[in-house]
Amino acid sequence: MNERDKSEGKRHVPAQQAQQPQPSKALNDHIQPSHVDNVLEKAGKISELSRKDRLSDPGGGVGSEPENASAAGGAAVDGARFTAGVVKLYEALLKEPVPEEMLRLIDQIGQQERE
Amino acid sequence: MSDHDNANLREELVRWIPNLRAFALSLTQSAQHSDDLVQDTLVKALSNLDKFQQGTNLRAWLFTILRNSFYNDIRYKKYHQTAPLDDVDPVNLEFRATQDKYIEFKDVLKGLGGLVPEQREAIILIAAEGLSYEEAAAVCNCPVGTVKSRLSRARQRLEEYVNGDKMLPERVQ
Repeated sequence: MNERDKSEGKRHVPAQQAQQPQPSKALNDHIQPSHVDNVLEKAGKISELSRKDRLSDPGGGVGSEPENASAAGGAAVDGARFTAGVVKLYEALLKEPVPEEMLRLIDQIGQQERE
Repeated sequence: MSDHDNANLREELVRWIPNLRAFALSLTQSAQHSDDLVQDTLVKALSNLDKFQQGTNLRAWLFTILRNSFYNDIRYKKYHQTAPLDDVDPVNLEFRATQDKYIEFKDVLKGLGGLVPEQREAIILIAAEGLSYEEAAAVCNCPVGTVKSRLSRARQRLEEYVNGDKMLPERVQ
């Protein structure tokens, strides 16, 4: 289970702190496909979180419980794994380059204020 | 606020843009609308930079502005989506990965898309962004207990989705 899920009520370690994204000057304002590919390779297959795989491999995968876990326990694990998938997706999004137009916008507003 | 402080704040603000975009995307479920929302947020934040209290949480302040903009815009239906979620994920996000990966992202996005925005933001702010309950409650302008309850319901709903116990609606706004 994702460690964040275990520590309700406590201060979590933000994804941001774990890996601070660096704004890029790249013009592309969309997700970089090759980058997303890399992230996915590193993060592992999110499809492992899918129901299909759960049925074929009950309780399997990272953070799983023993095979004889109750159905309710298994559901909780699946939910947690799905949450982990959300986190992985979010972390992939954090690595997106900042659109050039946003950086320009900030510069423009700063310039206007100085003038 | 001195010019130096102002410049530092702007620099810090730029560092949070990826987080703002990710949070906006999770709320709007649309790449285009999320960037519009982030731009609105940046304009509002920069225009009110003098109102930001030094030493407080800039990220939470920015997220609050973004969230308020989102819900205001929902009221005006500016960001209201009637299109199915299918136009949101791989194609809309310009994911040009393999078909398998389209499906992987789609699955996660579909699960998120089936949550009401309040539940979606709870799971994003706490599980993904790593805010404390107190910080998330401040961003969402609600009691801590409400955030906990929304997070709990979000997890429960995702469990039901993963287990196929309940079909998620096509899209929740």
